[in-house]
Amino acid sequence: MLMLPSSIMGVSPLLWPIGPCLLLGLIAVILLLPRPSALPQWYGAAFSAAALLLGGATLVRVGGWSPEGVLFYAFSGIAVVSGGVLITQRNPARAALAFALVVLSTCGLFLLQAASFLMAATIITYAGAIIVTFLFILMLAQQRGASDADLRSREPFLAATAGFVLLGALLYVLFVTYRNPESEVVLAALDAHLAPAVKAVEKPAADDQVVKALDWGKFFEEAPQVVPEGTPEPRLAALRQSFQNIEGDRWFNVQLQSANEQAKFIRETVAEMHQAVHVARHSLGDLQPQGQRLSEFSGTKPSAMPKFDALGQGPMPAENVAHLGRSLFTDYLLAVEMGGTLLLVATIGAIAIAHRKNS
Amino acid sequence: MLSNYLIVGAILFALGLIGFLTRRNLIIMFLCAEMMLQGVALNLVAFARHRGNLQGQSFTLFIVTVAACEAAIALALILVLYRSSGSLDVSLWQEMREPDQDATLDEEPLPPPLPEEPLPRLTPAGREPRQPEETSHV
Repeated sequence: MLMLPSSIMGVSPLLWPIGPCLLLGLIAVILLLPRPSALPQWYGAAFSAAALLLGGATLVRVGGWSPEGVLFYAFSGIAVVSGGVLITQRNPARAALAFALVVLSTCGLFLLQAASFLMAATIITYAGAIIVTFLFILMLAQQRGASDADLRSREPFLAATAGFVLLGALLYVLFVTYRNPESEVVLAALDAHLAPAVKAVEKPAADDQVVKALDWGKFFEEAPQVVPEGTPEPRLAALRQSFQNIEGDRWFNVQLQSANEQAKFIRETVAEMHQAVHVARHSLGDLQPQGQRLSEFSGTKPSAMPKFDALGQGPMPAENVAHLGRSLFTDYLLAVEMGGTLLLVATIGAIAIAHRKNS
Repeated sequence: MLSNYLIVGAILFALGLIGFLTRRNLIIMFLCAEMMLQGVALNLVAFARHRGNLQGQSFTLFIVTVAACEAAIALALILVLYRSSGSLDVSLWQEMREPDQDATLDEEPLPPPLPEEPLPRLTPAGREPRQPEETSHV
């Protein structure tokens, strides 16, 4: 890898995939936004294809060709492409259809995230109702030929720059949290440190063999050292603290007891540490509410850590609609009432606004 | 993985923001705002899946409700604006700007309208083949 000065070393490994993608996307959007004397669309299309390919290869991390990964690529690709078409298309009817495509592919992503009811509800309200009424308005209001509304854009350069600066900031925060190379190095070192211990414990062996399999005193002593002191990631700091407690209090007391007790303690503790590293890997950057009064009607209690599976996802109830209903009519009952009232008020308001007065 | 979905949500949000800021057609501006809502909804659903609870999905359901109300009101407002100005161009309403702001002027002329495409005509289908004269041998 290229050696960089240490002052930007902390930032550059994170930034290198983001920068080129965003730059290509920015150029593509500026070229494609409507203006009276625009360059041919091929230039913008080429830049946007390059940005999409580079972004798909570097920003997204699927891990192997699973069906879920392929579907994710397909749906998110369609969503982003038709989002771009929506903001650059000169014909508003085509733009509305591109928006319908955005909604449909987002619904595909909802389905991948086990939100089947939301998928149906979103398709019905957006693609079914909103798009159709807007196409109706477009038919009413569309004027023929060139129009200021469709062939000009306001400050394309400044607005696109502002949008992409916002996107860069969002992506940077996401990468610092979820793809931080420092955290990944620490987690890999923890895995390497725990691997021989897990192996020693997993084998069915007599108690004294387990005790002799490793220098356990050294193992427990070195476990907190693997996490560097003063790490900015709160999950890793908590991990270091818990490993220190294991070494300082509990292992110190067990050392003097019989081999059976020691082996029992070692088995339990190694499994606990293994699980703690697994949870920390999938909850980097999580903020947890500390409240004790949060209800369990909506699934796992928000203040409790879910049991992450191998993909880093908590268990979801299979009956999506039934559980969503239970969540809505217990935790969010008042909000449901307010939503209904809002719909009624909006209906009355829309009729009052659009009413043609005795013409 | 959680972060993939968050990235797609952020991209949809930023694209919607750019569209809302640049486009001048009222309907496209509204659709761009809806696309920003879609990005946020994707974020909420992804977090719900990650944490294994349904709170994110409940929030998204409320987003859909509010978006439906917003669509109804926006539709009515756009209709009223179209009736009074005869165009969907939002820049026609720049008289409502602050008094110390300058008006934005369109300097580049619009391209001349394309000549109307002629209606399609059927190509001549060739000559009718000459039929042998009807003869009867009675």
